[in-house]
Amino acid sequence: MIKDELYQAYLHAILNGDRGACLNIVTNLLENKINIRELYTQLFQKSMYRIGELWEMNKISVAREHLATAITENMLSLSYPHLVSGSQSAKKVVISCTANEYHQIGGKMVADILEFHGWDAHFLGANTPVDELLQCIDEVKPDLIGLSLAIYFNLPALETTLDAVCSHYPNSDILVGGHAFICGGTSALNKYSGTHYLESLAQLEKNI
Amino acid sequence: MSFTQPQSEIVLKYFQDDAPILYFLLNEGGVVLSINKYCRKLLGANIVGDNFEELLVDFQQSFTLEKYIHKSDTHHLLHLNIPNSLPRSYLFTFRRVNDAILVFGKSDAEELELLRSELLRANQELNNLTRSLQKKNAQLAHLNSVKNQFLGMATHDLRKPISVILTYTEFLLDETSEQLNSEHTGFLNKIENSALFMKRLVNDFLDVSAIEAGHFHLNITQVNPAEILEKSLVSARIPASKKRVDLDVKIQTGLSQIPVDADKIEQVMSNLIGNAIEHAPLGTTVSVALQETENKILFSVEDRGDGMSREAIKKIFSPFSRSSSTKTGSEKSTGLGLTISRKIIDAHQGKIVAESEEGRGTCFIVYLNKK
Repeated sequence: MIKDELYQAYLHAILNGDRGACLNIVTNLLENKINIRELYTQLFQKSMYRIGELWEMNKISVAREHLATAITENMLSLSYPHLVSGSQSAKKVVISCTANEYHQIGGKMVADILEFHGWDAHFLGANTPVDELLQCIDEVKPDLIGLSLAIYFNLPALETTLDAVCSHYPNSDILVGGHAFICGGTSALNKYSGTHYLESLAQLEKNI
Repeated sequence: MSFTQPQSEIVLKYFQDDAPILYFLLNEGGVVLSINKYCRKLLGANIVGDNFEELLVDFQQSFTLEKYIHKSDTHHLLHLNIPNSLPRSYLFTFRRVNDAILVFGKSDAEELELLRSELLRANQELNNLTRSLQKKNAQLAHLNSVKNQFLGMATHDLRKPISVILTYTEFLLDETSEQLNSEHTGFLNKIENSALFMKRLVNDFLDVSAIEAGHFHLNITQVNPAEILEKSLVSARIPASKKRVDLDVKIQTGLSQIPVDADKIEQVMSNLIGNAIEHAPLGTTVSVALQETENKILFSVEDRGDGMSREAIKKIFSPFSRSSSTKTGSEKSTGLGLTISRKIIDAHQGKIVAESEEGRGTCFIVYLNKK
């Protein structure tokens, strides 16, 4: 459990673009063997959700939000070696953002948590064209496909992606999640069989 | 459109206090008479009185105020020297009003946005690539540990049959040599030599797998390095005499005791001396020296063999990197001796270096800490 004062210190640092202070906090937590999911949800996710809110309320600029995103990406890279085992895993997952979706942190966190639980996660990153995603699915032959959507306005792109994936791989298990659905809108997924909404990282861990 | 006086005052106040643009008022000679708040924050208040030209980073020295005033409707890209920071680029316009010159500078907002987006994208890509590399690294580390585990098990299991081969071969050579003809005795000698080589190979593999698996422990005691060297020389004298190689040993008297694992350091010394003898031409000298400096004990071995190229020297401590220099007898090497030696010296926080020149021999120097 990450204490509120530590979270506040991290939030203050990330809002001020103080990468060094963030690095110190995360390094200390990793050295003290913090539970990876707690680190991801109680520090990275919570701070980025707060930054998203501040941006939506016009309290911070796009540039500051992007700076915080870049620092969080660095912190994820710092944490990743602590969760990846390198051993051969039985299950494979392909995780991607849709075309035009430039926010990739949520998807990467899901990929990391699955890696932590022994999955072989292939993370394709932001703004992945449908053709590239289909090609990767063809090569990897995953047990699960994860699609991340951070901005609700990109829902049509998600639907285009789901149309293509479900048409090419009708028996696929697909997880869809992201900040875009925080206020609802998951009914758009009902028409796709085998597609499930992933509410949180905790729910992911419960069901894998 | 024209402003009323109150409106003009508001606009002027905005330019003076709030606008994120640079504003300078210059005299005809280009001397700064006044600046706005944004300018003061960026360049400091003390620029008033300076010549505008002195504020610029003008590599071509092409700035002339007259030229820019003449093109007053054009935005000119100029770079400002920012105190305690990197230069910044602004788009400037110059306008003559009565006997003064108004200068406005603004950032290229579109360009900044483009750069920011690109930076963000590059950061994402870099982090994704880092993630892929980290994953590959973890996979390689896992494979390496599996390989070491297998190597350890396989070589451990090979030890027993090799011992059996050696024991019975030695028995046959000792007990039945009179009943065997010279050809059969030669066969047994070949079996014995091959089994001895296999034994060395297996021992080296076990050492490497133990080191790489992190099962490498030092038994540190205070030892006189000269005693370790003397032990190493006992086993080196036989192969040296077989090749008529003279061992020229120089040990400084009164050497300090040092904290080392004596068995492991003996292994390093034996390996380096053995290598030198193997590469020494018949009838030449191998120089061995042990000396003390203020903080270190230096052990060196030098042969007069073929030496090595710079490329070969770079790879000399890697496993199985057989050197290009030729051995002068029929010696067989496992290709792991120098790798193990380096690991042992590294574990002692010491240093091992090789110096060589083609045609002039090779010298290995080991530096061991006195404390």
